[in-house]
Amino acid sequence: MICTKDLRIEYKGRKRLNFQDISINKGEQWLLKGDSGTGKTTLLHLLSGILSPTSGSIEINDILINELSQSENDQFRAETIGLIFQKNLFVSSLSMYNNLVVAHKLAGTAIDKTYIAHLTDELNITELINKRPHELSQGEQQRFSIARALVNQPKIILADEPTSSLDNTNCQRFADIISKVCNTHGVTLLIATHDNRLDASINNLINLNLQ
Amino acid sequence: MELLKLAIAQLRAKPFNTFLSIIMFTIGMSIIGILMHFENSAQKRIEQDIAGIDLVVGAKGSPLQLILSSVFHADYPTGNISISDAEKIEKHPLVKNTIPIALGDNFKGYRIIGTNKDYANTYNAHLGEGKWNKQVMEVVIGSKVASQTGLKPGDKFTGVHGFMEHGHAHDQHPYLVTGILNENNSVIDRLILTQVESVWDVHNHNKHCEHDHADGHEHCDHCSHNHSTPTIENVLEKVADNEELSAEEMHLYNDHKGQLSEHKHDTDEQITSLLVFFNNPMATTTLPGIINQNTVMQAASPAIELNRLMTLLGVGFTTLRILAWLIIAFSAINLLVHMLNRLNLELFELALLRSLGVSRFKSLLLLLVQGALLASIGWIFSIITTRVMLVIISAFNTDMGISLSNSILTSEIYLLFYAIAIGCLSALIPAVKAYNTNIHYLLNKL
Repeated sequence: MICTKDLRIEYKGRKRLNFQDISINKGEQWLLKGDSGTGKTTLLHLLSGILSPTSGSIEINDILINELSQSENDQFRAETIGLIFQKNLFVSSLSMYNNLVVAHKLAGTAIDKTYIAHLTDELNITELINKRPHELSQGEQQRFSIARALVNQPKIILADEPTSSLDNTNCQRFADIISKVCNTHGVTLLIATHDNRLDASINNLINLNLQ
Repeated sequence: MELLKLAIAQLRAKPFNTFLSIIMFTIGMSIIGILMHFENSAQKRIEQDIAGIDLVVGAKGSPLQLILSSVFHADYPTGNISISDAEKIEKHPLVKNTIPIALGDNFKGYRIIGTNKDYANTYNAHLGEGKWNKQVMEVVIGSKVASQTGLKPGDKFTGVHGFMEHGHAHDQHPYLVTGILNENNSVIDRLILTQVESVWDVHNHNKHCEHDHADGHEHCDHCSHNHSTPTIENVLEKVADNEELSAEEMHLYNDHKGQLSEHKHDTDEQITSLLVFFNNPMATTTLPGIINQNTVMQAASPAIELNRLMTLLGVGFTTLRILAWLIIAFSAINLLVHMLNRLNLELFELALLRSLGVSRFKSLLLLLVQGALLASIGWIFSIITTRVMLVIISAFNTDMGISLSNSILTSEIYLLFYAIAIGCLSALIPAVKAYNTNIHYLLNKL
């Protein structure tokens, strides 16, 4: 499902990062751990095609994404990958429902309305879909982040420090929800984090400190 | 479509900023729009006033003056031409039709024109009230004359000599109003039409005044007003009443008698000018030359003279237009600053969209669409303000004669395209910035 080989990225003369080879199978849930500066976010961005590696290969779903063009990469990301960010990012001028669908409408990918309704029911946020981002609590926003990552029925969800701003209760709730949802939909999950609270829920670990 | 929705949503999220940008656009484009309407109505008005007149033949002098006085009734005439000379032109094979114009007097600033029925026909003027002037000393008046002076069919009035409101009145020769013309947005609205003979009648009687009034050009002091020094009218009155004359008055009287006898030899009646219509376009090149070189008269083409005039006026229009474009340029810069500010605030939203798979090109397009939207809304507002302003202007100043056309001028359509181009152009820098956004870097910063 996800397979990287000799992945290396160089920022213009500043920083150089080498990554250990990764191999993740379909439907598995992994944690990506490492101290600050070890390249957790960079790796996630490489896997999602936001960044291109200087050398090495990334194979996702049998596609070598490091060989895709910029626009193919965008399209691939829109269809295959769901992203969850550290902060809850939304387009402030749009309603929550539109926030869920806007990117995919813009990218031209198909929207399944019944699936979205099902998803929001599952995450218990159906009543909030007409609100604006600033009207929601952190926890509610987080659940919308999960919903948004799943809207396009992705094969993979990549989450970047999703729990760093959550209290214990919410952290646990997030871990439960995302595990459950990914299991039900057969989605591969990779969470970059240094939050030990997640260790209980997810067993597979990639440790970037060890390279 | 989704792009447009998002663009609108983002603009609506910042109503004050958006409003300011639109207002800036509106102001610039309204100024240009009003200028366009002025130019358009001026041009239309001029074309209407020229009414297909190919040539104006009058006394030698400034050709522009001849056109202004005989076609637009805005300047003093150059002088007079004799009927016999005019008749020669009328008989020329290249000439289809001619209309005589005899100027001389006014009533409350509105010119009394001695002419024939063809003149009204040329302007497609139709009678609104009363009937046409059949007899000498009968007049039909333009709609503006009627509304401003309150004259109605059946009223009598006397003309004042020359073209100023105040002057020597031809009290002994009252005109009778027989009809009022419908408004037709041409010079004829401001005119009083009578027969050429009426003008002759009024002025022949006054031929004691040392020149023929029919030209009205040089106004002799002693016959215009100022009755405190002996004038020929006073003297004539005294003579009629068998009163005694002073030596000075006697001298005047003798002079006058001498002139009268001189005038009696001059049986040739005169008119101010002759409006000429060709039956063959070839005449345009030949006839003016013939008249200018071989006769004491001059021929002037309204089209050519007005071109000359418009190039002069054009400088003013150009200056104003440059000013308006400057305002638009400022509004474009304002838009640019506004969009850049917005983009800096919302760049993470763009990064978000990009990371969710929206292509670079679409993110570029999103900002361009916003720029174009602001400009187009500004254009729509400017169309509305222009209409409102024109209504206000024409309400305050009826002389402008701006005809309010409901239709949008072709130039205004062009303006829309310019505006959109400018809107896109000012959004281009932020858009390129958005295009080149490093989403990895941006997402990392959060």
